Amino acid sequence: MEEFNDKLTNAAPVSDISEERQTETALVADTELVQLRDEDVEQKVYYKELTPTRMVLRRFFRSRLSVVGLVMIVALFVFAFLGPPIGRVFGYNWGETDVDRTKVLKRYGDWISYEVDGEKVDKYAYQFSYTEVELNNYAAPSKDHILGTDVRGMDVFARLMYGGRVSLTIGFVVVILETLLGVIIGGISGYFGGWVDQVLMRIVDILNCIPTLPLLLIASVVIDSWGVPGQARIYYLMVIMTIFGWSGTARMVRGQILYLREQEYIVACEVMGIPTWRRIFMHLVPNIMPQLIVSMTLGLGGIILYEATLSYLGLGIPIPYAAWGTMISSSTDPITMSYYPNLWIPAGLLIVIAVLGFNFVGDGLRDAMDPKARK
Amino acid sequence: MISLLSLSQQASVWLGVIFGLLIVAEFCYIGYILYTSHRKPRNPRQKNETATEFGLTDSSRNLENAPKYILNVRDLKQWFPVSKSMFGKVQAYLRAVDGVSFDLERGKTIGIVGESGCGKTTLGRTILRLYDITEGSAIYTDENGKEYELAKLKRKELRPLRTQLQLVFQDPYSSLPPRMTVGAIIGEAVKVHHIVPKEQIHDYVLEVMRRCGLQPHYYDRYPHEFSGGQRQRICIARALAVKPNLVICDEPVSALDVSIQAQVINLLKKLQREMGISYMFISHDLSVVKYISDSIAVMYLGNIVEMGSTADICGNASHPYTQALFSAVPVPNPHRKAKPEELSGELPSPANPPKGCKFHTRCKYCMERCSESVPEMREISAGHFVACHLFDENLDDAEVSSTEHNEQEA
Repeated sequence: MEEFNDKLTNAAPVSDISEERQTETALVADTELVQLRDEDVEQKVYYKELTPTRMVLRRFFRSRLSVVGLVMIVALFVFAFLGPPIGRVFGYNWGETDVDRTKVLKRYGDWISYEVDGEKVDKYAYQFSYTEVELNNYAAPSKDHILGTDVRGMDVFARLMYGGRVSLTIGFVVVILETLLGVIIGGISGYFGGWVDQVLMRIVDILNCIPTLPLLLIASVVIDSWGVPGQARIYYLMVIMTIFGWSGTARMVRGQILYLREQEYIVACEVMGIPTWRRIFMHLVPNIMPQLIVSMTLGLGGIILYEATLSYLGLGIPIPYAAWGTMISSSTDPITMSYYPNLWIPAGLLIVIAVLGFNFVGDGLRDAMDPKARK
Repeated sequence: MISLLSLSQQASVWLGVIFGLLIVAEFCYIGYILYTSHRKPRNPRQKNETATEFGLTDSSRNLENAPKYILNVRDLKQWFPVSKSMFGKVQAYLRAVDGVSFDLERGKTIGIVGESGCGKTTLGRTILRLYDITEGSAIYTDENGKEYELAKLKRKELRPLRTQLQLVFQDPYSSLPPRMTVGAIIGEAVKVHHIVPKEQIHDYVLEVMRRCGLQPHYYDRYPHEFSGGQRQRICIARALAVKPNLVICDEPVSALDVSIQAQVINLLKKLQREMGISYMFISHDLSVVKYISDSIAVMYLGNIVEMGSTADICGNASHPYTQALFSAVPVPNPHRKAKPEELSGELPSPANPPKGCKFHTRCKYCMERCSESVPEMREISAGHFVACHLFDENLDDAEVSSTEHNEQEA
């Protein structure tokens, strides 16, 4: 073999090596090759290769952080979607909009002026009095209300669970819609290029030029005037947030595809006669998956926060319906902020947990799906 | 519109929808792998006995009665626009391939050689219609005698032909998709073009891999786990899996080290013997081309300057450019003093090629007429063509001697 290699590389003076000798060496080399191969097949102890799916899963679960993230997300989903029925089993019957109207003694304070020797003194004292009221609002955390009640006498813990449904649903649906729209439009734009690209990217530019907040305020008023019932507004909200959100993803996808399109393995697809849709969705999209996952997981947290902003502006879920963002934004007065942290800290914590959890899982997935990562 | 309190009642439905969408979006890639990795025999020893041959050898392909030529290229031109005026009118072209003609016999190999930038790769890709052909014709004849004019076919009509014409890339690192397993890479085109029934794809791919010297347990591995030589084998397996008749090898061994070069070339030769494939072998490595080719075409700046059987070109190089090219090959004998005829100057720009014979700026036999008229292809012996004024029968002796005189003076 070595001799042959030398011949081949150094070959040079053309007349020096005769045709016959060449074929002879070639044949020898060939049989060597074949023998090697057969031996391998026969004697190779067959060992089980991990399938790619199992490899991805194994890598994912090997990373501690991504497992933590997964646990966080699963816990949130269980809390939001299975929490109320489980609570009912344990006798925790508060619903989303149930107002606690038990009669309670409420301590009220009042400034009274007091007299000394029948003369009014220029001083006031704070005197407490107890009244029986029919609204148990601002209740402290107790067995009846795990996290107390809010200003309307609604159970904060129950509202956290129901609000989680809205927040998580909005987050997921919007992120998925955004990504789908972004991948399709960005993919078309990047793959086909030319005037298609020009038109689509100008649309993206225009979308990015529009100031979002004023437009959202207008939309909020318009939706109000349509008389859309409270809970149905989340669908409008999803649509609006998607419309304003897809352009970033589209631009990123387009950039990536522009780069990938020039790669030789995409040229190879052309040679192989692979259909266009297959080229886009089997060759290009899997290769932008890491970036997509990152943008999705980062976007998810952003959307939950954005929903809070919109709720504050009156475009979100109207009270009495619950969403994490609404719950935070309804506790913006100084008194609630300072004296009733049980009304807003839990909702804030849940948002933090959701955002963190999604980011951990996203990171873990991206690393696990990278075939070049160590096993 | 969904009613007010429906949300709480539809908790489970929502859960389902959310997780469903999640899976679709984030796990579509995993799902794809799942789908492709769902195959019956995981153990290569349990190979299906009936499905080992798959018609991969030429005995089953009936090449006896097939037409002699597989590819006839006539005056093929591939010009790329380099500058455009304000109104989109093209002002200048880069003439990458500028009138190339050759024929390729079925089951034979033609080697295309030339220095970097002479248009070898472009020629190969043009024939495969990776670019739209500017001018000329390239006629591919399949084994039943049906002729296809590659220059005029539409994209849609081209697709079925993709199984018959294949390309092996120069760089085995960038030409394999990094996120697909070896089995998926080789099997993809097989699936798309229905080369074998669906349930046999796994066995078929294993058989192709075996023929290309790849072990069965590589099936689920990713390209980055392999060395350059094995990656090139994967590339070859991918090209061969669709049972092509003509494979254009675009410098398939240039990126490999020498011992691997030998293996890959022998593999190509073996496959040619077994499957009756024709090769168009593009390379700048003369020893490799000489070894594998039946005939050789030498390209310079988008034109073929000399063409003939391997023996003709190697033993009787006639064009000054071919001579210079061959003299530049290093000699492994330390006692033999090599004195390569170095070509002076750079390869001229194909956007602005020299007038007359394109080689005249670097040719040591350059005559007056070389810079004026383009030399025609002349047959100097049977099947040996040269495009050079030196071989013109009407050539004036005085003209030549004056050139030689000039040379001596210089």
